[in-house]
Amino acid sequence: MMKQWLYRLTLRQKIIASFITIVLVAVLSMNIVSHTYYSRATEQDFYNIAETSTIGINHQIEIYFQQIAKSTYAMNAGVLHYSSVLLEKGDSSLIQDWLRDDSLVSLEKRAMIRDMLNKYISFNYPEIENMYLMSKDQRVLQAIGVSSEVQLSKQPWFNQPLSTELRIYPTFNVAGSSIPFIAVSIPIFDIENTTLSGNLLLNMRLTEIRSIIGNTKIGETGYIFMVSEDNKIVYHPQASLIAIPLADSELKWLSLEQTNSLQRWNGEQYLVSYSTSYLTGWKTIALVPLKEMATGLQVARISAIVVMGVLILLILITVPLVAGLITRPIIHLKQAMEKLQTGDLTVRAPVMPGRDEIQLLSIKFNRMAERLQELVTTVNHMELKEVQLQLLQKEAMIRALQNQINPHLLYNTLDIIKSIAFLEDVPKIERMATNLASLYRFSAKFEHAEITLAEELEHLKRYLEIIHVRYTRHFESKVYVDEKYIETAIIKLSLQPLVENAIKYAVEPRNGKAAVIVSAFPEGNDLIIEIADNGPGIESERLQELQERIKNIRNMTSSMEQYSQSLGLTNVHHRLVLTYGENYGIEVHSFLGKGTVVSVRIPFKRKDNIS
Amino acid sequence: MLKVLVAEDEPWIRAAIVEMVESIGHDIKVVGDATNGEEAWHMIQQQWPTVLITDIMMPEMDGLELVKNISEQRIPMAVIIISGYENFQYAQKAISYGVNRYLLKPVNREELTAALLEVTGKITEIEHMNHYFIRIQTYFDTINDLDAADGIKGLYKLVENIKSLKHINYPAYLSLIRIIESKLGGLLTSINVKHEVITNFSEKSDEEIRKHLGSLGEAWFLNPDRNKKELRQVIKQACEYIHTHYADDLTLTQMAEYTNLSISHFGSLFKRYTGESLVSYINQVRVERAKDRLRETNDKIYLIAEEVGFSSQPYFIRVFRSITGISPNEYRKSLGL
Repeated sequence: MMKQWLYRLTLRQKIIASFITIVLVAVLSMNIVSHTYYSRATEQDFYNIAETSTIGINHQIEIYFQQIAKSTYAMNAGVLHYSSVLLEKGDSSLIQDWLRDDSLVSLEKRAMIRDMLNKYISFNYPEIENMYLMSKDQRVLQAIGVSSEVQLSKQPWFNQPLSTELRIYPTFNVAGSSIPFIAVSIPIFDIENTTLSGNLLLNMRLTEIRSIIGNTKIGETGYIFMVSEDNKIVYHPQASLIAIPLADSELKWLSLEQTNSLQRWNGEQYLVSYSTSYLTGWKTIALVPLKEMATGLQVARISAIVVMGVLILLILITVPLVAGLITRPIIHLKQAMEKLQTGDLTVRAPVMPGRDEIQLLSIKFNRMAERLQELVTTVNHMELKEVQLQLLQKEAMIRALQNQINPHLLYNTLDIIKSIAFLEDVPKIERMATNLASLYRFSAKFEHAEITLAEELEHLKRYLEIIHVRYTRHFESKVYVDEKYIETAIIKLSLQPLVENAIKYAVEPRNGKAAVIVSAFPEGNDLIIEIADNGPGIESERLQELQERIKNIRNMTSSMEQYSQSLGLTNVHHRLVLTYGENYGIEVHSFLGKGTVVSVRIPFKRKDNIS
Repeated sequence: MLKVLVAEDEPWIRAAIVEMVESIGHDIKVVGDATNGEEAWHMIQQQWPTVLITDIMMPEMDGLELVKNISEQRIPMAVIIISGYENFQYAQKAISYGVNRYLLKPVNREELTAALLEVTGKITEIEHMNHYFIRIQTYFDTINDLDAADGIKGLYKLVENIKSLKHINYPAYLSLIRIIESKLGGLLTSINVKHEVITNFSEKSDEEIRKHLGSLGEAWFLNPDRNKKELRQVIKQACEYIHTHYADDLTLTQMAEYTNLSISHFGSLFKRYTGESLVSYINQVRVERAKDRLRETNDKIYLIAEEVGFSSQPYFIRVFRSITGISPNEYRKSLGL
């Protein structure tokens, strides 16, 4: 199919098509390769950048939490006892004390603890919403306000065992508050026996995290967010998503199996990279739509298309020109060949000097045409010569034949014979020469195929006169034809050859001692002319054969009969049949030892239009 | 009387035709026999026969061309053509030249007789015209005997005589004037005198014609070269040749060739200087020799005829009789041999 389609194109079209295909393939593959590598590089760049920033963010957040923890240590341990001047010794470790045993702590002192915690908040981290102290026996002392057991149980940390190390609870919402919090659990050790005595829990707003992450923007819409170990969104620039499990959010498609990945969602490609904090176990995730990252890629793609377009345009302009330059000589050659095909051997293909294969082909073609022309000329010449030769030979032959029957020579010679006979007074020779000339003249005349019976009989009589001279003594001939029949039309040379036949077969074998009688009589609308001789007759076998042959001519008038013997009889019969129809012609009857009768049947009609 | 000229290149046929014509009687005479068209054309202009019997195929000038000349020169003659060809184109041409009969070879005596007798019936007008030609010929035949004064006077008289035809047959009249001009021209050419030739006299007045012919006549008669010795010498040589070669087949063409002259020039010169046509001169020589033979030998007549150059015995006998008045046998008997 493809092949056929290709063959249907002209050479020029093929060249253009193949050029364009090649350029398209080249540009496209270049584009694809560059795009692939470029996008891979872009991806890698993104991962590097994202990793750096997510690790940084993690780090900052870790530091932040650790600082918070550290800043509470003194307070928790009661280190303030160093300033004994300011406080009583007993106050130095109020928290420790409360944790050990509540009963030992007065209400006042409890107030002091709360006060201390509040001071701490207001001095250090205003983002802390509330602070709770929780003892091993689940007693809770809070910095601000009082919470019922039910309220407290809603805190994520409430039913948890006391943590021995710094622990961060991911973002949660507290009932009655729209502000999400994270909780930091700081272990408090008894300074006397260094056992875990309780936890300090800080409910914190996300202010600091927001301020850390919020600065970091990737691309136009790319952003960073955090997901806890149990896949809850810790932080997201979009506040409504915070504290929601990832699976319930619009980001549920996100897979976090690999730290770096390219993910597709909703027809968009997203670059995803994250790093996990060792402290919190949270994942800081950078998410960017690929297209934003790959603006350069876009530019590269567009430029590739532009380049391709320009190239195609160039091809469309230049290739036809070049193709034309290449194909023009071929087209010329083709035209020359077509002309040659029609027989114009003078045609030559135009040739430019050079070593171009097509030019070489043109030169070869011209050489071929030249040679062809030469050959044809030679052949023509030879043929002409041959034909001329043949014509000359034919002419010579005809001339030779003409000389044989040259009427001037014949009649002149006969006249000379006749003149000598006249001058020398030999009337027989005179008559013979005159009759012979008349016989030939009569036979040689072609003008009229049909003559009157009188003319034919006149001819016959001249012939008989010659025979009489030949056989002066014994030969007898009689022509009995009534005057009323002599105007009948009859084909020329119909009776004389029959008489000649009779002379040949009846008179000559008997050395002239025979008679020939010609008579005519009507039969219906026909006229019968009989030529009778008293010769030896025809043997029955031969007679039968002769009659058979005559019959055959009647049956198949169109076919040419091979006249072997007795040319006279069959020839005359054939002509009679052709002229007058199948019912006419000759009949032969013979009686051995007595003679032969040949009767000629012709229509009895006058030849009126004698010209 | 019919004056017949026979033109035929075959001697036997020519002789036979001459014999046939002679044997018809009825005042039909053969005045000449030519071996080709050119000879015939010359003889016509010398003998002025009234009937021409001619073959078509002949050397030099063929029968049709001869007939064409006769027709163009308006020479009043009856023409019978004898031809081996039964050719429609020939016949058509012959008719266009006014040929009376077209006979096929071999010539049948009855046919020829019939044709000649038919011509006899139409001969009166031809003879009337022929009269003028004879008159012109007679003048030119005797031109050597005339001095300048008589010659010029005779010429004017001839022209005046012909003028009587002018109102009866103008084309014939012009033709006669033209013949006089060509005869005078022939004379002048023979002595290398340049002269004016008009040929077409149809626009000319009587006076102009008279003046033109007169000037040609004067140029001839007043030229001392007109009795030139050399030409006389040439004819003398020709006569000597005839005297030694009489037994050969001598023709006008052969003699003209022998003298290096054209047939017509030789013919007219011969007649001018000998007073006779070549044929009758040769016949006279032959008959003289035949007389010698008849006297001196016992040879048979046909042998003598052959010996002295006659193609056939009857022809010999006829010629002998016409010259001597008796037949060869009678001549022998009269000598008592």
